[in-house]
Amino acid sequence: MTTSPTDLSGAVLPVRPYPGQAALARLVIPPSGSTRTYHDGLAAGRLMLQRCSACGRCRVPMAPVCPYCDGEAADWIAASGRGQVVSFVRYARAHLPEFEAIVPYTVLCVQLAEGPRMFGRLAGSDTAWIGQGVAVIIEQWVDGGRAPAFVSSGGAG
Amino acid sequence: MSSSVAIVGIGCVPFARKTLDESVASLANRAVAAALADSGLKRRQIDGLLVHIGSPRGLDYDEMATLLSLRTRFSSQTWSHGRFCGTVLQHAAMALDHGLADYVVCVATFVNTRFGNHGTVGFPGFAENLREGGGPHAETLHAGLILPAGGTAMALQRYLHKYNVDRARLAAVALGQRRSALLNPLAVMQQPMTIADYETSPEIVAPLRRLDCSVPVDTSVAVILTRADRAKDLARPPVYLRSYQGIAAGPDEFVFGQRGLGINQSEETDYRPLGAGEHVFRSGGVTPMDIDTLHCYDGFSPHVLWTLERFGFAPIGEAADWIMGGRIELDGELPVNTSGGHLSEGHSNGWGQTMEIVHQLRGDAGPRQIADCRLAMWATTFGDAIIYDNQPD
Ligand SMILES: [Zn+2]
Repeated sequence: MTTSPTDLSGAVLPVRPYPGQAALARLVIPPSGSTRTYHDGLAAGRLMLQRCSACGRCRVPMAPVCPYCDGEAADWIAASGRGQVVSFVRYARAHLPEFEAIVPYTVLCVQLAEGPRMFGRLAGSDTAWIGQGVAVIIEQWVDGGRAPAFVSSGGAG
Repeated sequence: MSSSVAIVGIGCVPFARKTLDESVASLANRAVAAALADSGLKRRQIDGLLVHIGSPRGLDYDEMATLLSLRTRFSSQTWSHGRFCGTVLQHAAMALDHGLADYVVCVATFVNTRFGNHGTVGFPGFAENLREGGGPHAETLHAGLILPAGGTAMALQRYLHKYNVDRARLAAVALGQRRSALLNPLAVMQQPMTIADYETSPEIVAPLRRLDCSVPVDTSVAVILTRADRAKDLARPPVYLRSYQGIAAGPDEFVFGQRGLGINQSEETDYRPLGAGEHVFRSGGVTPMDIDTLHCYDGFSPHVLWTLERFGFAPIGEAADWIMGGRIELDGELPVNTSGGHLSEGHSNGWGQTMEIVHQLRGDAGPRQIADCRLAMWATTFGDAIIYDNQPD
């Protein structure tokens, strides 16, 4: 895969502590190769998206081939952080200790303004609905690990 | 249409929700011995082995063969997930068709109760949650999207919205399959289910309720297949594989959800299922209307709706209405999962349904027997299918 140099300009997103007082390390894949761009982006307060150099569409998850045009060249852009709820589920219980302090909690499937869909927890609110406007935040866990989540932006997306 | 391969023997150990004081090899052997007895074959005639789920929940093919004194010239094994029942049977059929073996035994022995629940840290497959791209059921741990139920619940919420489906109607799947299970001694769920039971069942991962979820069990099932020419001479009536097709995969598929819902990276589309145009129908020379009974992968109750739609039994987005009035129950137009399925017989990863298909087509399903049952179908949300026939052509 061809990847252009990392461009970390673009929207800087709010960084908040993960309220569950837990470490992130065992919940995420360690960086390798080009996925370092995504992790470097989170460290710099940005959600980096892989963008196909041929058709210009962004994709999630990171992949060596564009699912829309099969192009193999890609660069990266910083997401605007805006999105809309496509679907959501609610967990009554924690099935991993990392979530015990925050149950019940809601997980969203969000369509980002740039196109791809992404799963993330709804932070700071209990109410989700399809079509709801949300914004990306970056949560910092107690071990310093960072992961994206969402907050309601207070209306339709 | 002429079928080249048939199931000629089945055997199992009763499904169990509590850990049995018995080794995996012993459980596997009891099922294999029962299948051999059913078919009239001798152990030394088996020359092909396919294992569905290996160690540590089951046994890998090599030790399975060694410990059960099987001597095989064709041996294989699939990933430790439930979705490969049809694939295992298809690989057996292809191996037989190509002369790689003459008698293949498929073994599905796995002991879930000895480990933590699926999706928790104690489960053998926990590390799979961190696969590149996401877990086997779209698990995304940093988001708290965990358990196999998570991905299906996400797809269900979108499905209810997209097609304006009445959530309450989903109850008919769990209630109907429970009624069938009460007629099946192998089923682990033997208490009647009322609509009140369903509606007060806790939301494990909303919108999925506990009674929308399959029941984990320890399972040991063996199924023996051979070519049609040899099948005719054996002890029991052959159940022929009339046609089949494999699992679909790729960016357009979301394993435990309907296509086109726009969950995860799969695109939101105006999904038009192929229905009767699916390879399994075209190559079998039949249509959904010809199927006497459907058996499907029901890890969660919405999978039944999505299978009915994917394979053209019900119009897209309308399966929850289509199943009203007992249409998929034993005396209905299309009896579905008449063993009770994963929801009530126990989550056998499709092997309980496979045995039920054999019973229905042999005509020995007892109180669950469907009159004049000739064509039975296995099908899944993720696109694989087998049409079984009790006649060779
Ligand atoms: Zn492209």
